[in-house]
Amino acid sequence: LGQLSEHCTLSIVLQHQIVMPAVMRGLEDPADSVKLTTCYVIDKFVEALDSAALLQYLPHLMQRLITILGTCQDRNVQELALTAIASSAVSAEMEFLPYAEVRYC
Amino acid sequence: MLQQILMVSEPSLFQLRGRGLECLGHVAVAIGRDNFTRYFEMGMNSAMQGIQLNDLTLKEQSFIYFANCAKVMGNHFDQYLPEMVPFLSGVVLEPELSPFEDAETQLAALGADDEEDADGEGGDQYLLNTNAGFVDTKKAALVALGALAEHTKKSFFPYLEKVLNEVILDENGALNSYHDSIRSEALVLLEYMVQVACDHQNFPPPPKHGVVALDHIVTEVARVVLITYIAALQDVEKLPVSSALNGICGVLELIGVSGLGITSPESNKPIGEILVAELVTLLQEKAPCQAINKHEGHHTGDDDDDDDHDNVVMDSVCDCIGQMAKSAGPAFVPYYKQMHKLLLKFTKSSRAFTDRAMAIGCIAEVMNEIGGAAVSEYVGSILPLIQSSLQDSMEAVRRNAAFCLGAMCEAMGPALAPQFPMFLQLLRPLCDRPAEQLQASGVGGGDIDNALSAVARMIRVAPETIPLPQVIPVMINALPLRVDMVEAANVFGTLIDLVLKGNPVALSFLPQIITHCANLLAPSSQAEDEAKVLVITGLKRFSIDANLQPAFSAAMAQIGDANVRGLVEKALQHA
Repeated sequence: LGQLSEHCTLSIVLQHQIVMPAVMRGLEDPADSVKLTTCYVIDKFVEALDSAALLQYLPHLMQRLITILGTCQDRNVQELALTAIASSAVSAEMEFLPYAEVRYC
Repeated sequence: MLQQILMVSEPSLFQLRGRGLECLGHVAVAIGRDNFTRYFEMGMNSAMQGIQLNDLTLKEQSFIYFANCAKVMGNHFDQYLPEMVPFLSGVVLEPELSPFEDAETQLAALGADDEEDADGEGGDQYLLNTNAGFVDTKKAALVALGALAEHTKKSFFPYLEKVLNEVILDENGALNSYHDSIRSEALVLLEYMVQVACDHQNFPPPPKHGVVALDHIVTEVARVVLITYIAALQDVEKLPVSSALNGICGVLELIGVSGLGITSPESNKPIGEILVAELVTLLQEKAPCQAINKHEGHHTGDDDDDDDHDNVVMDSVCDCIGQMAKSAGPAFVPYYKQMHKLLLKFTKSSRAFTDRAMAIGCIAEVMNEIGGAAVSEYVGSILPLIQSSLQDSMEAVRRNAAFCLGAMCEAMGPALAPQFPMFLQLLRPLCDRPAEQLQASGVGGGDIDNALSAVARMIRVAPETIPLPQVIPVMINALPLRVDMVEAANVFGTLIDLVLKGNPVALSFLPQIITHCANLLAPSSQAEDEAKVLVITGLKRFSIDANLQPAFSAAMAQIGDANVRGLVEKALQHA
């Protein structure tokens, strides 16, 4: 999915209603390796998603990424979670404000 | 949570700290200056401390944070300039070569994966540092310097001369780097030095096509930068050549055609003349960077669509020609004479479609700027090309051909009107396409947008030659614009004008015209403000003009879509 998101962006981004719920489940997978890959997919996928489409996923997405950041012991996963948060901020633009202001920073 | 990550002091966590800074920089860009101010110091404390720690990744990410934050915080960085500029310059000036006797120590320090190139023989041997972290950190320092210059504007002026000297003249200066990516970033930075000089001297944006007097400081900085850019066109790598061409475009945007009249201290020739000679060489594909491409099969750039298209250099060459035309207007004609035939070479059917689209787009940009008298000289060579290109199998080619046709129609005015019926025949297949074809993958519809705009230009130039009863329904059915929203002002302006003039065909389609106008004002619309203002003004005039008011009311009564009606009502109430 990460590769498809990176290289077939226009086609796959239209499928966000199928892709996003699936990848967000990956963030809750017990295996760090799955979380790691999921963060990579989110980074690439969310980059191509516009603010309006991302908005519906943002609350759950941010909650799960922040949970990973706070609880996961694997440094690589934490780093990619930060990258996924950064991509979410870039795509969400001003819609990211509640997550910057209230909960996390 | 980020706050904790940003201040971790355990070296094994520096990469995580760097990612945190990167993330914070993106958050800054997302939420804007007012909302980010409260977090600014937190990030700055981490970054300023981070650049003192001996970790290349953290240093690089700190510099990227400075660059992203500068975009948002602008002059908040003024207080940091005295400390940051010398530090960043110091990183940029770090030597890339070290004496060979230190080789073992250095290799051990750099790790087994890094390659070192030996340069010279025996006692004169040096090692070139090719460590990715070293190169990326230097590049990030140049990006940060550029962003600080761009966004602190005149506050950067005290550092301008020193930075220019260090980048261009110093033995270890970035332009003398062994790494093309570093040379490239240095060239990007130079454009902002001209911008700082303009800001400091309160130099206003140049008038379109107009020559203005440049003051001494702007002239001298622009001279140094433009001469450096022209010298960089001899680089054997494509990336710096492309950056130099893009930089020339940037400088011409800042100071206009006057930049082309600045003379070279060496040859005493105007820079415009020297630049044209270099562009001709590039169009002939004989520049040093192109020779390497041919002889060694060396290939750079992202050529997903077409391996033969040189999208690194040739696209920049065409952009530069377009920018020169934009800046100089009719004064560009003598320069362009040498380039036209060379550009036509790229339009041959044997060339890659990306080459064809690029060259036609470039010719179109020039035709759009040089005025009707000059365009008439090129009609003979361009029209056959446009005719065939409008039927090309590739959308990018059709799109640029339609733009070129519209530009020529507008530039030449009624002189080209006898051929308008033939042009309409060529444009119709682009506008009249089945919906399923438009929904196919890879179809953007930019060719339709430009075809509509070309038709609109013809209507403006010679409405009496256009069979409006046949043309307007096709236009209405082909709307909305899909990709090229910059054409909205022209297309909608033309339809609104026809209504305001009481054209009976336009009036018979008033409900559809109003609906398209309303959709242009929807929150999701990507149309530019200019087009939105034009549409709002048009709708208001429809509603208050005594002659149009009955037709407007009747049209509104026919519009059943509550959303459209709401958008129109909102437009009418707009102050």
